[in-house]
Amino acid sequence: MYNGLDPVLNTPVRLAIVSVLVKVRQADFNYLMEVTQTTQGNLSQQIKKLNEAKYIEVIKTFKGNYPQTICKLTDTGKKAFEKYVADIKIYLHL
Amino acid sequence: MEANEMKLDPEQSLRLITATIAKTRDNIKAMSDCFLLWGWLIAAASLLFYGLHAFTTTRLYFLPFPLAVAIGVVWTLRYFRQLKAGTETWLNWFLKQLWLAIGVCFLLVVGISLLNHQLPFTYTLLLGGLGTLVSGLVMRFRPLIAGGILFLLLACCSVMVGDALKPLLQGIAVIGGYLAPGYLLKYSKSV
Repeated sequence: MYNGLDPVLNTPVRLAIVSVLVKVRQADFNYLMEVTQTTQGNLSQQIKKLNEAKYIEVIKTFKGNYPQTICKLTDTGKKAFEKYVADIKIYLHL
Repeated sequence: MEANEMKLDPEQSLRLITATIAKTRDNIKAMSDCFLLWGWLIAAASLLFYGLHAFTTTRLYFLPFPLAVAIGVVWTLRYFRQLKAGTETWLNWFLKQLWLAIGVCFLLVVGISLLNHQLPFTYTLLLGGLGTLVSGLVMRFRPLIAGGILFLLLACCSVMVGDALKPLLQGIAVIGGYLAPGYLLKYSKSV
């Protein structure tokens, strides 16, 4: 029905991840899980898809002895989000 | 949120974006301990400098400042190493860069003033006022904006008083214009 909308962003978890990353400079995995209220497995999968689309950059690091995943929005992701917002505004006649 | 590939309609998308951005609040309080420690260090150093200079005969009255800066730098490095690589909002990042630049300028101003055989307090008050005012404006936190203005007013006053009173003015500025709004911010629910 809404074929013009970016299929990468047009799902709840991926759109939520990108919406968070618009507001923050970087976010770690636990924070994204808290905000998106999704499971660890699903979040990993959605992050992978956003990373494959080059919308986000994923940095693997360590905090103390524990591995930590950090996500940052790329310029491609930022432009895609801006276009997505512009597109939904057109659909909603805003 | 569901694990499947549910598609959103434009209205749902807009609601989700708005709700998610609203949940992603700036967490200034996460860095407040570091900022408050610097406030206490500079306030204590200013008041000790004033006390030692005005009421004792010691020639080491300047010592509280290098000591405060050394303690502050070591503590800050350890603090940010622990915080490193977590979630960071753009506002937190901006404030960190702002105060880092002001810290460097502070050291340069002190060094240049010492080379010119003059006290740096007027300029350090201006730098403190700049940082506090800009921080208050970007956070939209009025007590901090008022604090920044207090710094700038006391910087102007410092030109009109004798050298002995200048560190006292700086101590008052830090306590009234930085620490008091800093604690209001720490315990406020709004920011």
